[in-house]
Amino acid sequence: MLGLAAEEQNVLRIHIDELVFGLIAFVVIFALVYKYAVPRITKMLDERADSIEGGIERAKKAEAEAEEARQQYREKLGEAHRQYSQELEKAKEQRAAIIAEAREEAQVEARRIIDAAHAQIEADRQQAMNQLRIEIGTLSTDLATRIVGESLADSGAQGRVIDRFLAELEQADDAQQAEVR
Amino acid sequence: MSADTLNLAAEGGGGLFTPGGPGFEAPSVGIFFPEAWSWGDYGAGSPYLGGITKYAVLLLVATALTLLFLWWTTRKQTKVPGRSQSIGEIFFLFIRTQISRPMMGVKGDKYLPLLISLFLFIFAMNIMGIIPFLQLPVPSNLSYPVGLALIVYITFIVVGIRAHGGVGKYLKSAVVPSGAPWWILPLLVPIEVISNFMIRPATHAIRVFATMFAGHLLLATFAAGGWYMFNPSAGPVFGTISVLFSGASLLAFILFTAFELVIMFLQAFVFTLLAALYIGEAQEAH
Amino acid sequence: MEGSLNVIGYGISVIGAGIGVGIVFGMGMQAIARQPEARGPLQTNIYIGFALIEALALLGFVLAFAI
Repeated sequence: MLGLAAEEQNVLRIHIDELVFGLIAFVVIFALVYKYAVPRITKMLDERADSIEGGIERAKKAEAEAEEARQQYREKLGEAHRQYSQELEKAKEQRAAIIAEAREEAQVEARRIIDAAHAQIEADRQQAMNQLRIEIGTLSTDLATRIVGESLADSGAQGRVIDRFLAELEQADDAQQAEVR
Repeated sequence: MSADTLNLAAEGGGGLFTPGGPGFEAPSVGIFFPEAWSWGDYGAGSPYLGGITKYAVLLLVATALTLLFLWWTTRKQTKVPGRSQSIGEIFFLFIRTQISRPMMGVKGDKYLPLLISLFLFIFAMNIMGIIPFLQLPVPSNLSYPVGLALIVYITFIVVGIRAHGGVGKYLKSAVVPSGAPWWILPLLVPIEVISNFMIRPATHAIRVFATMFAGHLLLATFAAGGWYMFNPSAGPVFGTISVLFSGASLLAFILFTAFELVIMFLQAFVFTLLAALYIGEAQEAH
Repeated sequence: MEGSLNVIGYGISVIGAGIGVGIVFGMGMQAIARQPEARGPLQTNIYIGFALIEALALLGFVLAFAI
Protein backbone atom coordinates (compact mmCIF):
# COMPACT_ATOMS: atom_id res chain seq x y z
CA MET A 1 0.00 0.00 0.00
CA LEU A 2 2.79 2.36 0.88
CA GLY A 3 4.43 1.63 -2.44
CA LEU A 4 1.22 2.26 -4.23
CA ALA A 5 0.76 5.53 -2.42
CA ALA A 6 4.33 6.46 -3.09
CA GLU A 7 3.77 5.96 -6.77
CA GLU A 8 0.97 8.44 -6.75
CA GLN A 9 2.68 11.10 -4.75
CA ASN A 10 0.81 13.92 -6.31
CA VAL A 11 1.12 16.98 -4.13
CA LEU A 12 -2.18 18.33 -5.37
CA ARG A 13 -4.23 15.38 -4.25
CA ILE A 14 -7.63 15.95 -2.77
CA HIS A 15 -8.78 13.09 -0.64
CA ILE A 16 -12.51 13.05 -0.15
CA ASP A 17 -12.30 11.59 3.33
CA GLU A 18 -9.79 14.16 4.54
CA LEU A 19 -11.85 16.92 3.02
CA VAL A 20 -14.88 15.64 4.92
CA PHE A 21 -12.89 15.40 8.15
CA GLY A 22 -11.84 18.98 7.69
CA LEU A 23 -15.39 20.10 7.02
CA ILE A 24 -16.70 18.29 10.08
CA ALA A 25 -14.03 19.85 12.26
CA PHE A 26 -14.79 23.26 10.84
CA VAL A 27 -18.52 22.85 11.35
CA VAL A 28 -17.95 21.89 14.98
CA ILE A 29 -15.81 24.95 15.54
CA PHE A 30 -18.21 27.17 13.65
CA ALA A 31 -21.15 25.92 15.68
CA LEU A 32 -19.36 26.67 18.91
CA VAL A 33 -18.28 30.10 17.74
CA TYR A 34 -21.72 30.92 16.36
CA LYS A 35 -23.80 29.61 19.23
CA TYR A 36 -21.54 30.23 22.16
CA ALA A 37 -18.47 32.39 21.79
CA VAL A 38 -19.53 35.32 19.65
CA PRO A 39 -22.90 35.98 21.34
CA ARG A 40 -21.22 35.93 24.71
CA ILE A 41 -18.44 38.26 23.65
CA THR A 42 -20.71 40.69 21.86
CA LYS A 43 -23.15 40.68 24.75
CA MET A 44 -20.41 41.47 27.20
CA LEU A 45 -18.94 44.18 24.97
CA ASP A 46 -22.34 45.76 24.53
CA GLU A 47 -23.01 45.57 28.23
CA ARG A 48 -19.72 47.19 29.02
CA ALA A 49 -20.28 49.94 26.48
CA ASP A 50 -23.74 50.43 27.95
CA SER A 51 -22.50 50.67 31.47
CA ILE A 52 -19.72 53.06 30.53
CA GLU A 53 -22.14 55.25 28.64
CA GLY A 54 -24.63 54.95 31.48
CA GLY A 55 -21.93 55.98 33.93
CA ILE A 56 -21.14 59.05 31.90
CA GLU A 57 -24.84 59.80 31.66
CA ARG A 58 -25.26 59.38 35.38
CA ALA A 59 -22.31 61.62 36.12
CA LYS A 60 -23.73 64.30 33.84
CA LYS A 61 -27.11 64.04 35.52
CA ALA A 62 -25.54 64.28 38.96
CA GLU A 63 -23.58 67.31 37.85
CA ALA A 64 -26.71 68.95 36.55
CA GLU A 65 -28.49 68.18 39.79
CA ALA A 66 -25.66 69.64 41.82
CA GLU A 67 -25.67 72.73 39.65
CA GLU A 68 -29.40 73.08 40.15
CA ALA A 69 -29.07 72.64 43.89
CA ARG A 70 -26.35 75.24 43.97
CA GLN A 71 -28.51 77.60 42.00
CA GLN A 72 -31.39 77.04 44.37
CA TYR A 73 -29.13 77.55 47.33
CA ARG A 74 -27.82 80.76 45.84
CA GLU A 75 -31.34 81.98 45.19
CA LYS A 76 -32.37 81.15 48.71
CA LEU A 77 -29.36 82.89 50.09
CA GLY A 78 -30.15 85.98 48.06
CA GLU A 79 -33.72 85.86 49.23
CA ALA A 80 -32.60 85.58 52.82
CA HIS A 81 -30.32 88.53 52.36
CA ARG A 82 -33.11 90.54 50.84
CA GLN A 83 -35.53 89.56 53.58
CA TYR A 84 -32.99 90.44 56.22
CA SER A 85 -32.39 93.86 54.79
CA GLN A 86 -36.12 94.37 54.46
CA GLU A 87 -36.60 93.42 58.07
CA LEU A 88 -33.83 95.73 59.05
CA GLU A 89 -35.40 98.56 57.10
CA LYS A 90 -38.75 97.84 58.68
CA ALA A 91 -37.24 97.71 62.11
CA LYS A 92 -35.54 101.04 61.53
CA GLU A 93 -38.78 102.55 60.36
CA GLN A 94 -40.57 101.12 63.34
CA ARG A 95 -37.96 102.50 65.67
CA ALA A 96 -38.27 105.91 64.12
CA ALA A 97 -42.03 105.70 64.30
CA ILE A 98 -41.94 104.63 67.91
CA ILE A 99 -39.57 107.41 68.78
CA ALA A 100 -41.68 109.95 66.95
CA GLU A 101 -44.83 108.71 68.60
CA ALA A 102 -43.25 108.78 72.00
CA ARG A 103 -41.98 112.25 71.40
CA GLU A 104 -45.35 113.43 70.28
CA GLU A 105 -47.03 111.79 73.21
CA ALA A 106 -44.56 113.34 75.54
CA GLN A 107 -45.12 116.74 74.00
CA VAL A 108 -48.86 116.33 74.24
CA GLU A 109 -48.54 115.26 77.82
CA ALA A 110 -46.28 118.15 78.60
CA ARG A 111 -48.67 120.56 77.02
CA ARG A 112 -51.52 118.98 78.83
CA ILE A 113 -49.68 119.31 82.13
CA ILE A 114 -48.73 122.86 81.36
CA ASP A 115 -52.30 123.64 80.37
CA ALA A 116 -53.56 122.02 83.50
CA ALA A 117 -51.10 124.05 85.54
CA HIS A 118 -52.17 127.19 83.78
CA ALA A 119 -55.77 126.37 84.37
CA GLN A 120 -55.06 125.67 88.02
CA ILE A 121 -53.19 128.87 88.37
CA GLU A 122 -55.96 130.75 86.65
CA ALA A 123 -58.53 129.06 88.84
CA ASP A 124 -56.49 129.87 91.95
CA ARG A 125 -56.12 133.42 90.85
CA GLN A 126 -59.80 133.66 90.15
CA GLN A 127 -60.64 132.16 93.48
CA ALA A 128 -58.21 134.43 95.19
CA MET A 129 -59.70 137.37 93.37
CA ASN A 130 -63.18 136.34 94.31
CA GLN A 131 -62.20 135.85 97.88
CA LEU A 132 -60.39 139.11 97.85
CA ARG A 133 -63.39 140.80 96.39
CA ILE A 134 -65.68 139.25 99.00
CA GLU A 135 -63.32 140.10 101.74
CA ILE A 136 -62.88 143.60 100.49
CA GLY A 137 -66.61 143.93 100.33
CA THR A 138 -67.01 142.59 103.85
CA LEU A 139 -64.24 144.80 105.03
CA SER A 140 -65.72 147.75 103.33
CA THR A 141 -69.06 147.03 104.84
CA ASP A 142 -67.46 146.48 108.17
CA LEU A 143 -65.51 149.63 107.84
CA ALA A 144 -68.50 151.48 106.71
CA THR A 145 -70.53 150.17 109.67
CA ARG A 146 -67.81 151.11 112.09
CA ILE A 147 -67.39 154.43 110.53
CA VAL A 148 -71.04 155.02 110.65
CA GLY A 149 -71.29 153.72 114.27
CA GLU A 150 -68.35 155.82 115.55
CA SER A 151 -69.43 158.97 113.87
CA LEU A 152 -72.53 158.79 115.79
CA ALA A 153 -70.70 158.79 119.09
CA ASP A 154 -67.51 160.65 118.69
CA SER A 155 -65.63 162.32 115.95
CA GLY A 156 -62.43 161.74 117.83
CA ALA A 157 -63.22 158.18 118.00
CA GLN A 158 -63.73 158.24 114.32
CA GLY A 159 -60.11 158.94 113.68
CA ARG A 160 -59.05 156.13 115.99
CA VAL A 161 -61.28 153.70 114.15
CA ILE A 162 -59.72 154.59 110.92
CA ASP A 163 -56.24 154.21 112.26
CA ARG A 164 -57.08 150.89 113.88
CA PHE A 165 -58.62 149.67 110.66
CA LEU A 166 -55.61 150.62 108.68
CA ALA A 167 -53.30 148.93 111.19
CA GLU A 168 -55.39 145.80 111.03
CA LEU A 169 -55.29 145.91 107.33
CA GLU A 170 -51.57 146.27 107.37
CA GLN A 171 -51.22 143.43 109.81
CA ALA A 172 -53.37 141.19 107.62
CA ASP A 173 -51.37 142.19 104.62
CA ASP A 174 -48.10 141.33 106.37
CA ALA A 175 -49.45 138.03 107.54
CA GLN A 176 -50.67 137.25 104.09
CA GLN A 177 -47.29 138.11 102.61
CA ALA A 178 -45.51 135.97 105.14
CA GLU A 179 -47.87 133.18 104.32
CA VAL A 180 -47.06 133.48 100.65
CA ARG A 181 -43.44 133.52 101.38
CA MET B 1 8.77 16.91 10.28
CA SER B 2 11.88 16.28 12.21
CA ALA B 3 10.91 12.72 12.98
CA ASP B 4 10.62 11.89 9.31
CA THR B 5 13.65 13.81 8.25
CA LEU B 6 15.72 12.51 11.12
CA ASN B 7 14.81 9.01 10.13
CA LEU B 8 15.68 9.83 6.60
CA ALA B 9 19.05 11.19 7.59
CA ALA B 10 19.66 8.43 10.09
CA GLU B 11 18.90 5.80 7.52
CA GLY B 12 21.55 7.45 5.41
CA GLY B 13 23.76 6.82 8.40
CA GLY B 14 26.54 8.92 6.98
CA GLY B 15 27.44 12.51 7.11
CA LEU B 16 29.61 15.14 5.67
CA PHE B 17 33.19 14.12 4.97
CA THR B 18 32.55 10.43 5.42
CA PRO B 19 34.45 8.74 2.64
CA GLY B 20 32.21 6.48 0.71
CA GLY B 21 29.20 7.59 2.68
CA PRO B 22 25.83 8.23 1.15
CA GLY B 23 25.29 11.54 -0.49
CA PHE B 24 22.89 14.10 0.91
CA GLU B 25 19.32 13.27 0.28
CA ALA B 26 17.19 16.34 0.49
CA PRO B 27 13.77 15.78 1.95
CA SER B 28 11.35 15.09 -0.87
CA VAL B 29 7.64 15.58 -1.11
CA GLY B 30 7.39 12.17 0.48
CA ILE B 31 7.33 13.84 3.86
CA PHE B 32 3.86 15.07 3.00
CA PHE B 33 2.59 11.53 2.51
CA PRO B 34 2.65 9.94 5.93
CA GLU B 35 1.71 6.31 6.10
CA ALA B 36 -1.95 5.69 6.76
CA TRP B 37 -3.16 3.61 9.67
CA SER B 38 -5.83 1.86 7.74
CA TRP B 39 -8.07 -1.00 8.75
CA GLY B 40 -9.88 -3.28 6.41
CA ASP B 41 -10.05 -1.94 2.94
CA TYR B 42 -10.51 1.61 4.09
CA GLY B 43 -8.16 3.97 2.37
CA ALA B 44 -6.14 1.27 0.77
CA GLY B 45 -4.97 2.25 -2.64
CA SER B 46 -7.83 4.49 -3.54
CA PRO B 47 -6.73 7.77 -5.07
CA TYR B 48 -9.65 9.49 -3.35
CA LEU B 49 -9.08 8.22 0.17
CA GLY B 50 -6.11 9.06 2.31
CA GLY B 51 -7.02 6.90 5.26
CA ILE B 52 -6.36 7.85 8.86
CA THR B 53 -3.01 9.51 8.52
CA LYS B 54 -0.99 11.85 10.66
CA TYR B 55 -2.99 14.62 9.05
CA ALA B 56 -6.25 13.37 10.49
CA VAL B 57 -4.72 13.10 13.95
CA LEU B 58 -3.26 16.59 13.71
CA LEU B 59 -6.60 17.85 12.50
CA LEU B 60 -8.14 16.50 15.69
CA VAL B 61 -5.42 18.15 17.75
CA ALA B 62 -5.92 21.46 15.98
CA THR B 63 -9.68 21.26 16.47
CA ALA B 64 -9.23 20.47 20.13
CA LEU B 65 -6.83 23.39 20.45
CA THR B 66 -9.31 25.75 18.86
CA LEU B 67 -12.16 24.56 21.03
CA LEU B 68 -9.96 24.87 24.08
CA PHE B 69 -9.05 28.41 23.14
CA LEU B 70 -12.70 29.29 22.65
CA TRP B 71 -13.71 27.72 25.92
CA TRP B 72 -10.85 29.32 27.78
CA THR B 73 -11.51 32.84 26.53
CA THR B 74 -15.28 32.84 26.96
CA ARG B 75 -15.58 30.63 30.01
CA LYS B 76 -16.61 33.36 32.40
CA GLN B 77 -17.75 36.72 31.22
CA THR B 78 -17.50 39.66 33.58
CA LYS B 79 -17.72 43.37 33.05
CA VAL B 80 -14.17 43.82 34.26
CA PRO B 81 -12.39 41.29 32.06
CA GLY B 82 -9.87 38.86 33.37
CA ARG B 83 -6.78 37.77 31.49
CA SER B 84 -8.39 35.09 29.36
CA GLN B 85 -11.47 37.16 28.61
CA SER B 86 -9.29 40.05 27.52
CA ILE B 87 -7.47 37.82 25.08
CA GLY B 88 -10.76 36.66 23.63
CA GLU B 89 -12.07 40.20 23.31
CA ILE B 90 -8.86 41.50 21.77
CA PHE B 91 -9.00 38.69 19.24
CA PHE B 92 -12.65 39.37 18.50
CA LEU B 93 -12.02 43.08 18.04
CA PHE B 94 -8.97 42.36 15.92
CA ILE B 95 -11.04 40.33 13.51
CA ARG B 96 -13.75 42.95 13.50
CA THR B 97 -11.63 46.07 13.05
CA GLN B 98 -8.96 44.61 10.80
CA ILE B 99 -10.93 42.23 8.61
CA SER B 100 -14.67 42.55 8.82
CA ARG B 101 -15.24 46.29 9.03
CA PRO B 102 -12.82 47.44 6.29
CA MET B 103 -14.03 44.78 3.87
CA MET B 104 -17.74 44.58 4.56
CA GLY B 105 -18.69 47.52 6.71
CA VAL B 106 -21.09 47.29 9.59
CA LYS B 107 -23.51 45.04 7.74
CA GLY B 108 -20.78 42.40 7.59
CA ASP B 109 -20.90 41.90 11.33
CA LYS B 110 -23.20 38.91 10.93
CA TYR B 111 -20.41 37.04 9.17
CA LEU B 112 -18.09 37.51 12.13
CA PRO B 113 -18.62 33.99 13.46
CA LEU B 114 -17.59 32.56 10.10
CA LEU B 115 -14.49 34.73 9.91
CA ILE B 116 -13.51 34.03 13.49
CA SER B 117 -13.83 30.29 13.07
CA LEU B 118 -11.94 30.41 9.77
CA PHE B 119 -9.09 32.37 11.27
CA LEU B 120 -8.84 30.29 14.42
CA PHE B 121 -9.12 26.98 12.61
CA ILE B 122 -6.57 27.81 9.93
CA PHE B 123 -4.14 29.26 12.41
CA ALA B 124 -4.46 26.22 14.65
CA MET B 125 -3.91 23.92 11.68
CA ASN B 126 -0.92 25.95 10.51
CA ILE B 127 0.68 26.06 13.89
CA MET B 128 0.81 22.28 13.97
CA GLY B 129 3.85 22.74 11.74
CA ILE B 130 6.06 24.19 14.43
CA ILE B 131 4.85 22.39 17.53
CA PRO B 132 7.60 19.94 18.46
CA PHE B 133 6.87 16.25 17.74
CA LEU B 134 3.80 17.09 15.70
CA GLN B 135 5.50 19.25 13.09
CA LEU B 136 3.33 18.88 10.09
CA PRO B 137 1.15 21.81 9.08
CA VAL B 138 -2.27 20.39 8.32
CA PRO B 139 -2.97 22.70 5.35
CA SER B 140 0.04 21.25 3.55
CA ASN B 141 -2.45 18.58 2.53
CA LEU B 142 -4.58 20.28 -0.10
CA SER B 143 -7.77 18.51 1.04
CA TYR B 144 -8.19 20.66 4.14
CA PRO B 145 -7.85 24.15 2.67
CA VAL B 146 -10.03 23.07 -0.23
CA GLY B 147 -12.79 22.24 2.20
CA LEU B 148 -12.57 25.65 3.81
CA ALA B 149 -12.36 27.46 0.48
CA LEU B 150 -15.40 25.52 -0.65
CA ILE B 151 -17.35 26.77 2.33
CA VAL B 152 -16.37 30.35 1.58
CA TYR B 153 -17.18 29.81 -2.11
CA ILE B 154 -20.66 28.54 -1.39
CA THR B 155 -21.21 31.24 1.19
CA PHE B 156 -20.37 34.11 -1.07
CA ILE B 157 -22.41 32.76 -3.94
CA VAL B 158 -25.44 32.29 -1.68
CA VAL B 159 -24.96 35.71 -0.14
CA GLY B 160 -24.66 37.26 -3.59
CA ILE B 161 -27.79 35.61 -4.87
CA ARG B 162 -29.71 36.71 -1.80
CA ALA B 163 -28.39 40.26 -1.87
CA HIS B 164 -29.17 40.74 -5.55
CA GLY B 165 -32.46 38.92 -5.44
CA GLY B 166 -31.93 36.22 -8.04
CA VAL B 167 -29.30 34.10 -9.69
CA GLY B 168 -29.37 36.04 -12.95
CA LYS B 169 -29.00 39.43 -11.34
CA TYR B 170 -26.13 38.25 -9.19
CA LEU B 171 -24.33 36.67 -12.12
CA LYS B 172 -24.79 39.82 -14.14
CA SER B 173 -23.37 42.00 -11.40
CA ALA B 174 -20.49 39.64 -10.76
CA VAL B 175 -19.55 38.89 -14.33
CA VAL B 176 -20.37 41.99 -16.36
CA PRO B 177 -18.10 44.87 -15.40
CA SER B 178 -20.03 48.07 -15.07
CA GLY B 179 -19.08 50.86 -17.42
CA ALA B 180 -17.42 48.68 -20.06
CA PRO B 181 -18.38 49.29 -23.71
CA TRP B 182 -20.51 46.55 -25.25
CA TRP B 183 -18.00 45.40 -27.86
CA ILE B 184 -15.41 44.44 -25.27
CA LEU B 185 -17.83 42.35 -23.24
CA PRO B 186 -17.24 39.11 -25.20
CA LEU B 187 -13.64 39.38 -24.09
CA LEU B 188 -14.26 40.54 -20.56
CA VAL B 189 -17.07 38.23 -19.53
CA PRO B 190 -15.15 34.94 -19.94
CA ILE B 191 -12.20 36.44 -18.10
CA GLU B 192 -14.46 37.54 -15.28
CA VAL B 193 -16.17 34.16 -15.13
CA ILE B 194 -12.88 32.31 -14.96
CA SER B 195 -11.40 34.76 -12.52
CA ASN B 196 -14.37 35.07 -10.18
CA PHE B 197 -15.76 31.57 -10.14
CA MET B 198 -12.81 29.30 -10.93
CA ILE B 199 -9.47 30.86 -10.12
CA ARG B 200 -10.71 32.65 -7.08
CA PRO B 201 -11.68 29.64 -4.95
CA ALA B 202 -8.77 27.63 -6.32
CA THR B 203 -6.17 30.22 -5.38
CA HIS B 204 -7.95 30.83 -2.12
CA ALA B 205 -7.28 27.23 -1.12
CA ILE B 206 -3.91 26.86 -2.79
CA ARG B 207 -2.46 29.99 -1.21
CA VAL B 208 -2.53 28.52 2.28
CA PHE B 209 -1.57 25.12 1.01
CA ALA B 210 1.43 26.36 -0.99
CA THR B 211 2.88 28.52 1.74
CA MET B 212 2.55 25.78 4.31
CA PHE B 213 3.94 23.21 1.92
CA ALA B 214 6.93 25.31 0.92
CA GLY B 215 7.63 26.52 4.43
CA HIS B 216 7.56 23.04 5.80
CA LEU B 217 9.82 21.78 3.05
CA LEU B 218 12.24 24.58 3.79
CA LEU B 219 12.36 23.74 7.48
CA ALA B 220 12.74 20.06 6.66
CA THR B 221 15.63 20.82 4.37
CA PHE B 222 17.42 22.84 7.02
CA ALA B 223 16.84 20.15 9.63
CA ALA B 224 17.98 17.36 7.34
CA GLY B 225 20.99 19.34 6.19
CA GLY B 226 21.98 20.15 9.73
CA TRP B 227 21.73 16.52 10.69
CA TYR B 228 23.62 15.41 7.65
CA MET B 229 26.47 17.80 8.21
CA PHE B 230 26.86 16.95 11.88
CA ASN B 231 29.88 14.64 11.78
CA PRO B 232 32.38 15.40 14.57
CA SER B 233 34.18 12.07 14.10
CA ALA B 234 35.60 13.09 10.74
CA GLY B 235 38.88 14.25 12.16
CA PRO B 236 39.89 17.44 13.97
CA VAL B 237 39.67 19.85 11.03
CA PHE B 238 36.78 18.39 9.10
CA GLY B 239 34.92 17.60 12.27
CA THR B 240 35.08 21.23 13.38
CA ILE B 241 33.99 22.44 9.98
CA SER B 242 31.09 20.05 9.89
CA VAL B 243 29.96 21.07 13.35
CA LEU B 244 30.14 24.74 12.37
CA PHE B 245 28.11 24.07 9.23
CA SER B 246 25.62 22.12 11.23
CA GLY B 247 25.35 24.96 13.74
CA ALA B 248 24.69 27.44 10.95
CA SER B 249 21.99 25.18 9.63
CA LEU B 250 20.47 24.89 13.10
CA LEU B 251 20.49 28.67 13.47
CA ALA B 252 18.79 29.06 10.11
CA PHE B 253 16.27 26.42 11.17
CA ILE B 254 15.42 28.35 14.30
CA LEU B 255 15.19 31.67 12.47
CA PHE B 256 13.02 30.19 9.78
CA THR B 257 10.81 28.60 12.40
CA ALA B 258 10.14 32.06 13.81
CA PHE B 259 9.61 33.31 10.26
CA GLU B 260 7.20 30.44 9.66
CA LEU B 261 5.19 31.46 12.69
CA VAL B 262 4.74 34.90 11.19
CA ILE B 263 3.85 33.37 7.83
CA MET B 264 1.32 31.07 9.46
CA PHE B 265 -0.38 33.98 11.15
CA LEU B 266 -0.26 36.00 7.96
CA GLN B 267 -1.73 33.25 5.85
CA ALA B 268 -4.58 32.69 8.26
CA PHE B 269 -5.12 36.44 8.20
CA VAL B 270 -5.02 36.63 4.41
CA PHE B 271 -7.36 33.69 4.01
CA THR B 272 -9.88 35.27 6.36
CA LEU B 273 -9.41 38.66 4.78
CA LEU B 274 -10.04 37.32 1.30
CA ALA B 275 -13.08 35.43 2.53
CA ALA B 276 -14.40 38.71 3.93
CA LEU B 277 -13.53 40.47 0.70
CA TYR B 278 -15.35 37.94 -1.44
CA ILE B 279 -18.43 37.93 0.75
CA GLY B 280 -18.43 41.71 0.95
CA GLU B 281 -18.12 42.01 -2.80
CA ALA B 282 -20.98 39.59 -3.31
CA GLN B 283 -23.37 41.30 -0.92
CA GLU B 284 -22.60 44.73 -2.33
CA ALA B 285 -25.55 45.63 -4.52
CA HIS B 286 -24.54 47.52 -7.62
CA MET C 1 20.19 15.16 -7.68
CA GLU C 2 17.00 14.76 -9.54
CA GLY C 3 14.07 16.96 -10.10
CA SER C 4 11.80 18.45 -12.61
CA LEU C 5 12.37 21.32 -14.98
CA ASN C 6 8.87 22.41 -14.02
CA VAL C 7 10.13 23.50 -10.65
CA ILE C 8 12.86 25.64 -12.16
CA GLY C 9 10.34 27.16 -14.52
CA TYR C 10 8.08 27.88 -11.61
CA GLY C 11 10.93 29.51 -9.74
CA ILE C 12 11.59 31.81 -12.68
CA SER C 13 7.95 32.60 -13.28
CA VAL C 14 7.28 33.47 -9.70
CA ILE C 15 9.80 36.31 -9.92
CA GLY C 16 7.20 38.26 -11.86
CA ALA C 17 4.52 37.63 -9.30
CA GLY C 18 6.92 38.60 -6.54
CA ILE C 19 7.71 41.89 -8.22
CA GLY C 20 4.01 42.45 -8.81
CA VAL C 21 3.07 41.83 -5.19
CA GLY C 22 5.89 44.08 -4.08
CA ILE C 23 4.68 46.87 -6.32
CA VAL C 24 1.09 46.46 -5.16
CA PHE C 25 1.93 46.69 -1.49
CA GLY C 26 4.57 49.36 -1.94
CA MET C 27 2.24 51.59 -3.91
CA GLY C 28 -0.51 50.82 -1.48
CA MET C 29 1.62 51.94 1.45
CA GLN C 30 2.53 55.08 -0.44
CA ALA C 31 -1.09 55.82 -1.19
CA ILE C 32 -2.11 55.28 2.41
CA ALA C 33 0.73 57.46 3.61
CA ARG C 34 -0.39 60.23 1.29
CA GLN C 35 -4.05 59.93 2.14
CA PRO C 36 -4.53 58.14 5.42
CA GLU C 37 -8.25 58.90 5.42
CA ALA C 38 -8.72 56.76 2.29
CA ARG C 39 -7.29 53.75 4.07
CA GLY C 40 -10.42 51.58 3.90
CA PRO C 41 -11.05 51.46 0.13
CA LEU C 42 -7.32 51.47 -0.58
CA GLN C 43 -6.79 48.47 1.62
CA THR C 44 -9.61 46.61 -0.07
CA ASN C 45 -8.17 47.34 -3.49
CA ILE C 46 -4.67 46.42 -2.37
CA TYR C 47 -5.89 43.01 -1.33
CA ILE C 48 -7.89 42.51 -4.52
CA GLY C 49 -4.78 43.28 -6.56
CA PHE C 50 -2.64 41.15 -4.33
CA ALA C 51 -5.03 38.23 -4.70
CA LEU C 52 -5.08 38.59 -8.50
CA ILE C 53 -1.29 38.67 -8.80
CA GLU C 54 -0.82 35.93 -6.28
CA ALA C 55 -3.26 33.88 -8.31
CA LEU C 56 -0.77 33.90 -11.18
CA ALA C 57 2.01 32.60 -8.97
CA LEU C 58 -0.28 29.95 -7.57
CA LEU C 59 -1.36 28.89 -11.04
CA GLY C 60 2.32 28.45 -11.81
CA PHE C 61 2.72 26.40 -8.66
CA VAL C 62 -0.17 24.14 -9.59
CA LEU C 63 1.05 23.70 -13.13
CA ALA C 64 4.55 22.91 -11.91
CA PHE C 65 3.26 19.98 -9.91
CA ALA C 66 0.34 18.94 -12.06
CA ILE C 67 1.99 18.65 -15.43
